[in-house]
Amino acid sequence: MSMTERMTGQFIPGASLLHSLDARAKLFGFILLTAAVILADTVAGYALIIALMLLLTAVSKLPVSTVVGSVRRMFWFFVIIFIMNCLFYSAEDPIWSWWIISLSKAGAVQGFNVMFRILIILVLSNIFTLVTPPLEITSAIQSMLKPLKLLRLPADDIAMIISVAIQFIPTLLQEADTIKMAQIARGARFESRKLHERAAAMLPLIVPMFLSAFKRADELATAMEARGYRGAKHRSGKKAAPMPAGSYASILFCAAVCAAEIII
Amino acid sequence: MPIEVKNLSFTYSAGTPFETSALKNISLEIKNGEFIGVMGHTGCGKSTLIRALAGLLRPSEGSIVVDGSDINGRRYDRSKLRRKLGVVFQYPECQLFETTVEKDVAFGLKHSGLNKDEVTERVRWALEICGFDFEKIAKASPMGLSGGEKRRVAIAGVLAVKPEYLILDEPIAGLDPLGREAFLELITGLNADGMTIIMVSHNADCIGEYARRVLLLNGGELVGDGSPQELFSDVERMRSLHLGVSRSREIAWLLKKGGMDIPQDICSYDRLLPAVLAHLRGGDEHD
Amino acid sequence: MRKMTAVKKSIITAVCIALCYVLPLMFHGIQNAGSIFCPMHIPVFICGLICGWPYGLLCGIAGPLLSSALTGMPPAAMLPSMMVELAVYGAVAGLMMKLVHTKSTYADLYISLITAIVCGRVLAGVAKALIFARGSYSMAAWVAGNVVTSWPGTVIQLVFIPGIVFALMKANLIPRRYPRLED
Repeated sequence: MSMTERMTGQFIPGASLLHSLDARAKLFGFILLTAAVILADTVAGYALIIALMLLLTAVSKLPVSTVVGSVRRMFWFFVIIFIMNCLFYSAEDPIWSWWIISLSKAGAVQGFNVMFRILIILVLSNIFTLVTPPLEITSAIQSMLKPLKLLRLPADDIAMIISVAIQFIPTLLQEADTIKMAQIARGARFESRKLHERAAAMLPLIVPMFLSAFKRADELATAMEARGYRGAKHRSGKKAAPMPAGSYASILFCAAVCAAEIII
Repeated sequence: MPIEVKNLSFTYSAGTPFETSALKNISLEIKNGEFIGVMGHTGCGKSTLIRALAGLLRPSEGSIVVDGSDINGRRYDRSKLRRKLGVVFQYPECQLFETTVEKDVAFGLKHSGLNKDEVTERVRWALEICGFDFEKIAKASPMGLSGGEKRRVAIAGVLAVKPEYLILDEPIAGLDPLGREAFLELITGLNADGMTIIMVSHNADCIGEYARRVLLLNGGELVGDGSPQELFSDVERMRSLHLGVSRSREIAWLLKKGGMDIPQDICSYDRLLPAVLAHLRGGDEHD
Repeated sequence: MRKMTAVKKSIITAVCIALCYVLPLMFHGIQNAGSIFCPMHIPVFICGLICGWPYGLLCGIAGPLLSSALTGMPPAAMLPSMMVELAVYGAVAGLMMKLVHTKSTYADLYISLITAIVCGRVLAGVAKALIFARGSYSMAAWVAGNVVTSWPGTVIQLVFIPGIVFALMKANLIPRRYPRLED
């Protein structure tokens, strides 16, 4: 499969209310809602979360199949999480137990809780990345790094490293695609049943990828030093635009949901 | 047996907002022993065509038949194609990964069924044909070689399987003039021994001098298929496709525009020089 | 090879962060490669081993974060525990390389790697237990589960990573650790 295929959860342009919100507000709201999901532990709390999911999906105007896309692929993961919780939950009144394994009603409930939380957060993160362009997400993350300065961390350098990383992505993706195709054309096989053969097949992809990435890094670092680059602090940065009022309202809404979950 | 391409189309990300079509309804036949040059502006579908021919992409529509069997057929064994058809991608030196040159060149022979001695013999042959002294280079690390040497090792790795068809994507990009010459001599030699060559290049000189047949691609469509003499004769059309013609052809065209009677089917220096000389001598006689 | 400057370390960290996004995509489509071989772990280890602990730590946090922001993989639900795991890998690998000097590059690499892998896997297990089960349940089971299910990845990391580091040294892209002892 070519790497130019789309991944699930990748941004789809649109004109909904969620699309139009400021990325910083969406990121902050997403973190608040994730906290709300983790806090939820009653039937009423779960109902509120499910209602919220339905509302967000409707407002985003995205097809439901797209929103739950990655959930379907992770079906077996959910099954394993559920079984693990059922079997390893150490409750006082097991229905059946042997060695460290014990099957109990409390374990099954716990398994369901864990599964439900992961599922909802998965859908939530899907909606977030579907309605927000990648570059806006990364600049939102960068602006969230600002408080790091208060902790005397080199926030400017970190922001520089992250933006260089983003700039490298398209080139490295193309490189990865070419290397993969070249090795397949040379006869590399990935479909072997034996684990060690499959593992060995990774080497022709990984080693060239690191070599070419480090070569590019070396060239860029040399060029930056030659031009007298000393550190990100000495550069003048663009000032970020203030967030519109609607975005503050959406953060407030998410905070309210979060508070509601604490109360319920 | 030839390669037959019928109504080949390819669409990336079909059914999503990112849908783009890279190849549109391409049909062509490649006979054994041909030396074909492929030209086209950036984004014309050259790389997609190469990948489809090499069985690395499944076409959205149409078929590719190599030696009588459809390479995208359900029963087709792709590993057969890998031994029959070699691909040298752009900057092939990037694909080296083994700890020694010998191991890297032998990579493609892993599933070939050859025994150890046969593999060593093949590796020796491939390295020597690419201009190396086998004894000296075999145990060296490919990482420590120079850029030009790395490229030749990578090409040796593709040639080691002795493919019947060889696809080359911009093989001379980044080589110095001497390296270019040596490389094109190598390819011509392989072609003379019966290997079918399909070479993609921006370099009209190298296509005009070496290819016997040229394919022109534009916006995913095949807009020209013929000898370099035929296709390069219309310099203005080539320019409208954002393509150049070989310098020798350009000179012949300019001389004609300037009033000299030079044949317009020239696209290599081998023919340009005698034609110019003949014209000058002819001119002398008239005086 | 000249010495590693702060600028060079920063840019290497940047490409390693980018690789955290690119490598999993490269293995996307190869069956089970992502879940078994953990391609995202490799650049973090490499970054820690080569650039030192602060850079390894940053790579371990920013790598999965960037990948999650761009593709939704890993899903946000997995993100915190994964960030803990990778940050520990990068930081511990870098710290160990600073502390351990056996005069053999291979030995240094293996000792640092194994320590980092053990610390990372255990702490990731703890993080998962805290996030998904909020401490209400057997933490040892999570930790054991995390270590057991990832063993093929562990083997690959132990075999591949020193090999990659040596390839980078041979290609003269990073300085040798003991220039006088190795040819």
